[in-house]
Amino acid sequence: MTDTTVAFEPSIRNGETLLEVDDLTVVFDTEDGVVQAVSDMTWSLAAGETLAILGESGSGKSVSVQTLMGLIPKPPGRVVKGSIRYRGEELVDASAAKLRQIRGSEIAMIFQDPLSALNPVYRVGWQIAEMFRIHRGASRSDANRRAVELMERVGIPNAAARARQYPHEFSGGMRQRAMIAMALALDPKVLIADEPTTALDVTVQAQIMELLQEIQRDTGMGLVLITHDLGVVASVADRVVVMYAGRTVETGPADPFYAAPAHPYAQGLMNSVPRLLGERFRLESIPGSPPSAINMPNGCAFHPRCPHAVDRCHQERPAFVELTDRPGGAACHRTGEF
Amino acid sequence: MFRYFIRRVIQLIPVFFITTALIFIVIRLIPGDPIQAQFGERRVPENLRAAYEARYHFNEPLWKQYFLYMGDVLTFDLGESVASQRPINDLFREALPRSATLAGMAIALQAVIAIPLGIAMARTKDRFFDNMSLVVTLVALAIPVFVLGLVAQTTIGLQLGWLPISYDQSLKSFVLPAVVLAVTSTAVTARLMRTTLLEVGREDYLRTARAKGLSESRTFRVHALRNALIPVVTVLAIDLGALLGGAIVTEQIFNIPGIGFQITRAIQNRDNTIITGISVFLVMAYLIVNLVVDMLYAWLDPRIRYD
Repeated sequence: MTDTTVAFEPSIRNGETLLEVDDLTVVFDTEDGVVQAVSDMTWSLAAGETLAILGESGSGKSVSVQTLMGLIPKPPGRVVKGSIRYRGEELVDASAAKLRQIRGSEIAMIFQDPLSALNPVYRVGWQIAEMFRIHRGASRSDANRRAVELMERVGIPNAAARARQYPHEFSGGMRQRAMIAMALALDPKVLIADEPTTALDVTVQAQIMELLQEIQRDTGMGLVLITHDLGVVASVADRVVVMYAGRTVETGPADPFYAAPAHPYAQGLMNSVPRLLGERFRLESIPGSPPSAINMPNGCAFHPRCPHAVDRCHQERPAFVELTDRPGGAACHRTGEF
Repeated sequence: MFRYFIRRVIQLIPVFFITTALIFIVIRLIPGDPIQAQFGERRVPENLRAAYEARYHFNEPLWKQYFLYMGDVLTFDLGESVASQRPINDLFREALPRSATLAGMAIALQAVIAIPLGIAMARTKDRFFDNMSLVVTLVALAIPVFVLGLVAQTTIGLQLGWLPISYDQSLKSFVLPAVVLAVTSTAVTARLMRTTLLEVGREDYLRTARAKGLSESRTFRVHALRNALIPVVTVLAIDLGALLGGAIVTEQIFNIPGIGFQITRAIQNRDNTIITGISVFLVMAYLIVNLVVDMLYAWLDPRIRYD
């Protein structure tokens, strides 16, 4: 346990399945009743792969990854069904000690707002060094030295001096770089990025995404990117999971998905993104708003907002089926009809 | 930080002179004659009145009296009592350690009880212990100090005979008044500790700490508690400053000849020089405590930058 250098060599076989989420259902017990936050969710992540989970706020995308990190408060949160396996090991009923071992060192996470995600009263370098001190038993000076190395690695200029500063003295982009440094400290196999660029300026967004890709290339880690921003996804994702009202409505490889999304909700998302080229000049929005988790519509949850809804959509929830014309799947009664 | 400190000290100078001038003027303007007060119903002989006036500069214009007094204060001489002719510095030498002992004990009790109690309340939020403590602290807040003091004297002091009910120069005789003094502030501080801890509990950086794979205990001790203690420590420091100036009611009830006791007696005796002296001391103590609290706050919370 005394590795002295910060390792960035690939320690995982490319293509190895790291995470498997299977039929996961998470509910919250509230005063108004049981809320289904995530229903029957299934996806997997291989080493070196980038999986984008897309959806509006409240669609359950954050809850699903926080569940696998063991970060949802229980109670009120509860996993009622399904499994989450990390390299074959079940996480849903894993002990707190086991989860703690995996968190940070095997699966790391970065968050939307790096200012509130960093502790305001400790120096940035200290917060990164804490990883080495707690998980690796490194000495204070050794941990500090490695923290500075990591900060250099993620492109923080003048790292030795900046390690002694507090989070509020950093710019937004630099804070997210510090968060990334902290996440990478123990060379995790999986990085979960929960809306990592939402709180940042557009130019900084691109830099952070580039940094994440560069690190992924170097380490071969799997990246789960949670976002509502299709633009961010387009350039980096290998595969896409689209969520609506806690359910997966479409999955598939990123390129064919972008060319022709199958689910009406995914189509609506795509039409609401400005494009530089092409024949479309007017931006469209999806009418209405997402349903409340407490009062789900019968049938397909999207039918009240769907331009293609037919009677069947009001009564019967569509099953998730493989697409016929390309790899991927969608949950829509009228798949392939439009 | 050091530049901020120096700037704050310089700012204290005009504040000090203006507040002491106001105190000086108000006390001299109180109707009634401090010299007559020393003689009760009897007529003051002319020669004695002249001697008093000369000794305490009562015959000079007010502005001149103030400058003479300030000259003494700046050489750390608070003058002497009109009633007893004793130097007020001597009176402070006796009274201040008593008030400080009482204040120190009360604050220690407050910190030692309120912080763990607040933590326990936050951890059992909305459950039995928390609800019970909320009720008990609310009751403690509502009871006036003099009621609490008398109840403590009759029960713990007289019926049980555990502790002395009035000052007898022993450390033990400070315990009961310190407890009485600490009750209200402990209730306030425990509730504050509970609230800030619950607020901090919702912070994103605790989720980060858990995502880092830290244990619940380290997440709480290192990442939550440090942040939650910032306002609590500030309140403790302010309370200590306030108590150093004497607890008027508590010192009366338990017969402790501290600062609060002395100022009550001086007001009864119209001993204007003591009232002025103690007031000036209280102003200084208040200004210094405020400065210390501000520096403490900046030290605890790096987001507060003064430069």
